[in-house]
Amino acid sequence: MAEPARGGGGAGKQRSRLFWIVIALSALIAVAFRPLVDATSPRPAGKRLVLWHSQRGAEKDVLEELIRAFNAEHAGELYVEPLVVPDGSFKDKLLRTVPRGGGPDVFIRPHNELGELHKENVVRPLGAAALPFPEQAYLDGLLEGTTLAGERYGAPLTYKALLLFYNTTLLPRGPPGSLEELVRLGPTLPAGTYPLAYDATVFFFHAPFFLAYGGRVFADDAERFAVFDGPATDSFSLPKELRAAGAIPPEPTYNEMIRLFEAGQAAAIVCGPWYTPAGDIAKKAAWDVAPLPTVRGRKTGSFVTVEAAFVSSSSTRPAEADQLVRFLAGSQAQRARFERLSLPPVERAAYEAGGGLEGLGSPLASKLAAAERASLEHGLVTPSSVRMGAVWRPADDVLKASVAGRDVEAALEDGRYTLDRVQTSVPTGASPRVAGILLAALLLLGMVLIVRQVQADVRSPEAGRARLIGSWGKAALGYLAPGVLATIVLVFTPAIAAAGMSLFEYDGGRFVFVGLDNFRSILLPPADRVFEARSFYFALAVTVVWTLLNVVLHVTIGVALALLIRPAWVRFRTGFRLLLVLPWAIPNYITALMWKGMFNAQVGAINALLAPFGFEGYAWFDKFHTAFFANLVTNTWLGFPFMMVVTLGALTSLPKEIEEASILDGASRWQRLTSIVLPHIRPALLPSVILGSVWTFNMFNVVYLVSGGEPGSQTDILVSEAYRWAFERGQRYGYAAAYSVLIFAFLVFYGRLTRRAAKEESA
Amino acid sequence: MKKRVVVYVVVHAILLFASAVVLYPVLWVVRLAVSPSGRLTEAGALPIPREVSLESFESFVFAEDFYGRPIFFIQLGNSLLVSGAATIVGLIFALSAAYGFSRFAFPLKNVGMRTMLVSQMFPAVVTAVPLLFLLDVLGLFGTTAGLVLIYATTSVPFSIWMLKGYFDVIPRDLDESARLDGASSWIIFTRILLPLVRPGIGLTALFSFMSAYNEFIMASVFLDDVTRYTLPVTLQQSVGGFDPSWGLFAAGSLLLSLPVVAVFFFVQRQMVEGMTAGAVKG
Amino acid sequence: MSVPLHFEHVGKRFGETIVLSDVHFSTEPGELVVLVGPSGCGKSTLMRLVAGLETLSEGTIRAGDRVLDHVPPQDRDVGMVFQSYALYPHITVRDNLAFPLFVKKVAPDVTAKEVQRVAEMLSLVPLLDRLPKQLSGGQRQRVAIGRCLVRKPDIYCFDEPLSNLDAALRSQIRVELKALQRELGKTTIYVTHDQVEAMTMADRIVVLHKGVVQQVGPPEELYLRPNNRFVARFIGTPAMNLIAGTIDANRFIGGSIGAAVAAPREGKVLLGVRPEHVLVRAAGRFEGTVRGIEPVGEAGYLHLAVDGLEVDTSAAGTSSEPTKKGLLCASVPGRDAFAHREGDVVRFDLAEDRLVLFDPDGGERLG
Ligand SMILES: Nc1ncnc2c1ncn2[C@@H]1O[C@H](COP(=O)(O)OP(=O)(O)O)[C@@H](O)[C@H]1O
Ligand SMILES: [Mg+2]
Repeated sequence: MAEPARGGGGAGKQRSRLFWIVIALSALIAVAFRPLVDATSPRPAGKRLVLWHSQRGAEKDVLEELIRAFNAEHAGELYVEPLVVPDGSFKDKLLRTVPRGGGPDVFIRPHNELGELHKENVVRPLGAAALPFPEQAYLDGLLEGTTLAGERYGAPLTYKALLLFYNTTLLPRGPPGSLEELVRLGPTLPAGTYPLAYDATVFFFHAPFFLAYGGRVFADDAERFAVFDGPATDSFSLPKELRAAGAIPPEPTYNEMIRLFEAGQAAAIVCGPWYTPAGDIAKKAAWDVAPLPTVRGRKTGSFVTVEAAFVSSSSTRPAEADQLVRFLAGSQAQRARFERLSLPPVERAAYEAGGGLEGLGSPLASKLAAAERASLEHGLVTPSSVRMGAVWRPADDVLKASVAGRDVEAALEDGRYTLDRVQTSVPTGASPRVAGILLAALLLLGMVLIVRQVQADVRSPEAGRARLIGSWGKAALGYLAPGVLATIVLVFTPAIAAAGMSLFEYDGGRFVFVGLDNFRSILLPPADRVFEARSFYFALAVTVVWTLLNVVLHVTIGVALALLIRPAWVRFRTGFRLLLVLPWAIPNYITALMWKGMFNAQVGAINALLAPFGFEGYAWFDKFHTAFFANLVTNTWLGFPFMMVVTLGALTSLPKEIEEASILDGASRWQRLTSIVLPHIRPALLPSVILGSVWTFNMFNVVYLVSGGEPGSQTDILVSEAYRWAFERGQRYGYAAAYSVLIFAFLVFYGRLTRRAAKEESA
Repeated sequence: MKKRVVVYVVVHAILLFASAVVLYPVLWVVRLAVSPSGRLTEAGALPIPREVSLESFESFVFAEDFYGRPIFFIQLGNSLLVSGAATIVGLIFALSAAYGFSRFAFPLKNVGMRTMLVSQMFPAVVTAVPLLFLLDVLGLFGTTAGLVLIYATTSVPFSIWMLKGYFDVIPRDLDESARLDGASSWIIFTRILLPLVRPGIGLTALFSFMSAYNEFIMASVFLDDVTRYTLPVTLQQSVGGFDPSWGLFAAGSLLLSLPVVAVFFFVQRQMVEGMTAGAVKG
Repeated sequence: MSVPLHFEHVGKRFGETIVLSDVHFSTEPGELVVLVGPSGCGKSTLMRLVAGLETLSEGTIRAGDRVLDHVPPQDRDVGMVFQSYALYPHITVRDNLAFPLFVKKVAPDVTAKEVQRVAEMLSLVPLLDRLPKQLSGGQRQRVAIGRCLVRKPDIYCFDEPLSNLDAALRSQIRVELKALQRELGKTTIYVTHDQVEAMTMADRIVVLHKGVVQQVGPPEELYLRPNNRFVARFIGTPAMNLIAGTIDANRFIGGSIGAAVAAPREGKVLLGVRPEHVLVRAAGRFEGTVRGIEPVGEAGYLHLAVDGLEVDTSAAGTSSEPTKKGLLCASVPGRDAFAHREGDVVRFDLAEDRLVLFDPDGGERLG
């Protein structure tokens, strides 16, 4: 008995030594590498300007070259240090750092965030010297995009508008001038080839059609939403019609459009200047660009994003910052961007003969720039108001419904409802009395309960015993203090603050007290909305079903696999075990994106696998149950290993004989499983199940990244709803906080329930 | 006898199938990472690449910053440093608190323990802003120490919960006997209980390490120097904006996951044993 | 030097449940007192009260003149061997033995000497470098005792130290332990649920039942003059026969049995007869039919059905071999047992000078 144990220990010891070596090495690298690199890379002399941007690839290279040129020019007195900030966190990072005096001096950002940045006071008006060209030299609209309330905040570097890329083999005579002609070309094209592909599921890409139909985002007062009103509402039916006519692919998304175009299966696509075709079509050089076609006889353009350089309000060197802005927006930079990246210049003159760009760049660049300009001229520089942020997502939802062939009118109604909620969010302030009294009452109740609990605890026999053996109160303080204090400060305080936020409504930079309004409007939606997506109750139902199914699947699969992998006669046990816990080791956002790709209608592996059953091109995210299923599969994939490991652990305490018998003994195998093995592992599993269900209940990443709430927010669970209210449906932080409080309340209730159940069971 | 063979075959078939299901999507990520275009351009049931190009890996690994510094290695170092430190700090917090909760009596003990669990229930969607504000007040904003503290602390409630389970199943006789011998609670903690909860420590460490190592939202808001970024921040950067480069993301994901998978490999046996102890009593 | 222990009206409650009530007795200095009772009766709790691992609800415990009630465990000079042995599984036997001294910051060389001494005393020397899991049950138990010895406490507490061992080992170690205790001469409280162990080891036995002391006394007193029905049934294997009957003019009548007794009162009683006091002999006055035979070596037991006899079994379930229901148990020499067959009719007498009477309702001894 002792001998094998010692033998096993030897192997284990060796392995753990290896483990510690690896750890030690990693630690050494971690600690020593950066100082080493720092020491060997000297800092330039002079005043430092920090530049934030989120460019990648060639764009980043060009930017860095420009910065080097600038640094060389100002050597000794001034130097610029760029920092790449991920696109998704850029705004947050600015909002968090600038008000406290940190952050960049200059940053490059699309202009459409200006409204919010301005409200939060993180941008500084440009000095007179910052604009490299006189105002009238700019293309129409660009400067307006970077101007707010009469102040100029950004210097345009370039702009991004949509244009047409087309396949020169399929359209040898160039693209037809109008959408209608393009669609009519359909039947003449080879089978499996579409005349047009564009991302019809995203409002930004749909904008050319929206604008051609005379769409406006805001009403005349520039405040009220007008997206879903007026003549352009018809444009939302266009994707449905185009798809029905076979003019666009069944899954008209960005990636699909690129894929089709590069495979020669789309005659024309609508895309932006950031795109350079790769693959087949690039090899054959069989592509070209053109302005957008007319729609219903009207020339059209797109939403235009102006890439601009801004100076942050925290910059301590505004003059130097202006200098940098001037340089980044100036001729040299314009030229470099045009020449190297084919990005359109912002100067009117550049488009004219003798504008300084001849001979530069490829012929393509000129064509591109011309097309961009046309798109700008007939398009719309995206409104930079804060409220614009609330438009994208609801509009996308309508488009997705349209593409999926659902009822567009109903989807529009949904959209209006959502925007209404944003609309009504203009807070008026409320008397703190009701909420105050309620809060005070709650606090009082809490205090009373706590005091009573303390009294009970102090008098308990356990306490007496603890006093005697010296494990009472104070003795524990030293052990508890660090962990508990840290938790209180960094976990509970923010949560309480966030809960407090639910009594407020955010209004561009300030919070207005609204009492229980948020709760009221969440819990008392209009009667006809109660059973619709986006209502709290709908999301709650989805979340409960989601949690239930997930936990059942996790436990069933986890326990089953653990039981199968346990017996000693199973080959490659370690290998299986390692493989099967793999999903746990992969960060869940990677898992989510991975499965999203797997469920892709065109190139997804799932459809390829299921092709024999007629799943080719099946759009999983068009219907509630299939989208939900996709989420479920993903979350099951990533969730069962935890339960498996817990079960394996619990099984180690199961007597060997029972276990072996339970698997080999034929007749009573099932019986033994249900009467001995399962009851044995049950207590071990219970806490994990509770924890697992809490995690699943709040499993934001999977829902947000896989189905993204598709279709029409139907598969959104409560957390992703909360997130959308905070970040996609007009910064309703207070509303989102109220959602969080309700989620929390529900989970606490659930916790009490399970505790009671557990108690009853053990009693 | 025949029945046994059938069972043997069926069990292995199921396990093989499950492994295949687990591996399949991962292989697709590999395939994406080695595809020259960084895109999947055609449907197919098998993740076999037509061409293999290590370009994505190269451009991820040999990425340089403005000053030509090898940021991948620097950031890998940062990631290991930050998550390692967070794990250690978090473990120290959690171990001592779990010991306190398991072996001491004090007012509001049960309430406190329940609150630890309850803290897992508040969704993180809206807590980030107050948290950042708080760190600013504490003067820790933008510092690596601040990040370490956030990571360490966010995993503490879960770790306490987990570890208390491990402490609870160690027979009280052991500490009572030591107590009779005159041992102080510190001696009991360090000399007797700590060695015995080792499997639990391994498991909990893995948890905290993983959650710190994979986090990017806080890190990207928090850190403002490329040489201080952690790897997930750069990974995130590769798919932001208009034109995500999925090839790069895939390659980065694989590289990022490697150390964690390696750690899993080392602790998996411990984990299987460890989970029992911790899980028997919650 | 050895101190006596005094329990004065000790009571212990856990919330609502009363675990010990009014425990009142004293030990002599250096005495081995065995606490015996069915499991769950509060033995461990009483011992833990001595060690200071639980607080008293009522009463006082003194060691000599010293009131222990509020003295923390480490200051009581009480050494305890836990039922589970409580060995530290991650360190060697040597370190386990050295732990109490390590805690007291005793110099390493002194510690080493002390450990060696104890190890020799308990023949643990060859095992010193093993881990507890590499030891047999008996060895572990010796290590646990050793760890207690190293400390040289004034009072020893053993909580069912033999309950995890097999029968053969148990009887061997019983003897060793007793000898060791004699040698040390320290007051020792020894807990067991096994009355045989109690009988063989104790200077005095304390019988506990449901938290109440039933009887305190030397083994032979408990055996011969049990205070009540519980003790009567609990002590002795097989248990004492309790025959229901009535007393009439100093004569006990139960079914076909009658016996002369010195009775303090008349009416219904229970007559207690040890199996060896049921004397099976051809000239016996009473008659019974053999319904069961248990030959166990040097002695054997016959279970007899006697006409009209009510043998009370209500207090059974605690002794290891309860009297067969309604049958009278008689002890016979082993080789005689083999001579009997089931269905045989035998004759027997009762040893009248050894009979005990109990109240059938309260259960206490009469007279
Ligand atoms: N900490 C406690 N809390 C509540 N009840 C207890 C506790 N410890 C022991 N008991 C109860 O006290 C009774 C006596 O226990 P114990 O002294 O361990 O019995 P034993 O005689 O078998 O050693 C049992 O019924 C047990 O359930
Ligand atoms: Mg006991």
